[in-house]
Amino acid sequence: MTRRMACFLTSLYPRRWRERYREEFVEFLQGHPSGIFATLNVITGALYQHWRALREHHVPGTRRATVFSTYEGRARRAIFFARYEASHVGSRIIEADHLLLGVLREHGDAGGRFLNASTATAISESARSQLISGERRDISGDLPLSEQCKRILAYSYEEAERLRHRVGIEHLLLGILREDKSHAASILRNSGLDLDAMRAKLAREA
Amino acid sequence: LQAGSASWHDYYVRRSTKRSVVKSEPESGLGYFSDPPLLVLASLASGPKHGHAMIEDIVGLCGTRLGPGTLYGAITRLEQDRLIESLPPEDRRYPYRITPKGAALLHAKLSTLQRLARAGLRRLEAQ
Repeated sequence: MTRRMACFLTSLYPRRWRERYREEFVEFLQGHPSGIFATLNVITGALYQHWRALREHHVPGTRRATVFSTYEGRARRAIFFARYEASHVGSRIIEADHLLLGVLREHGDAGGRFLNASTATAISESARSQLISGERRDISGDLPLSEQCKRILAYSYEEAERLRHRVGIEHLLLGILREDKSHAASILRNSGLDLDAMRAKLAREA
Repeated sequence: LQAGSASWHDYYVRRSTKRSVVKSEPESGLGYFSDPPLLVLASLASGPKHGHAMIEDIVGLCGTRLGPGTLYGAITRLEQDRLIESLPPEDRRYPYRITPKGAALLHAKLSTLQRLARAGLRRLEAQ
């Protein structure tokens, strides 16, 4: 099969599949005899992967896959708590510190894989002391994420994706650490959390 | 997709046989068997292999010639379930090897198949 044809057929697959298999699939197809049946077989394969991707992202009770459907329940709750923390102190935006507080709240309930209870409390207090208190706001309003927070979520997704996991609270912690200029990351670093050590631990447990 | 494409697969197999590569495939008729993930596992049981080696090996095992899309569909599922894992590429070929979990699953599946095959054949002979 020609390289052009191989590239075209590979491009029919879903993006996430291509991120993993693109290179080797193109090589593989180039070494495969071409023909209408091989072509149809690959097209069917692409349709099948699209169907799987749709099924994987579908959250029961929703019509469409949402941004947070790749998040574990605990990570989703952590983000919910972050929103609560932000509205609680009257912030108009969800900042990295709020996200950290949300994660800690959820982390404590989960028994804490990276932090023991006393460290978690110390970190929460330290993060909370930085927050500027304003008037409490109604939680029903729409709160946007700060640019820092958006980057943290993107990093968390990357960390989870690397291990082919759904985003969990451990990945959110990694994401916060990676946004190293943020106040939240410096608190975590000062409590002895290390990006590489955490990554290694997660990879071992995978 | 698995069940629905059986007849189409069958056609594909016969066509590709006709086109050469493997001269005699006695099983490509009624005895046709296709469970791509199981075939990939069985192929990798004898050591790491890349895509084309797996296809030829599986033809030798049971006469089934997997199409490129079918093979990678199986590889994707098996890798996600951690039944196989990829090895570093050699010479632009991407080999895979079976994991202990994959080997255990293959053993269990084949034992079931063996029981079924034995019992079924015995019943036929008894008639």
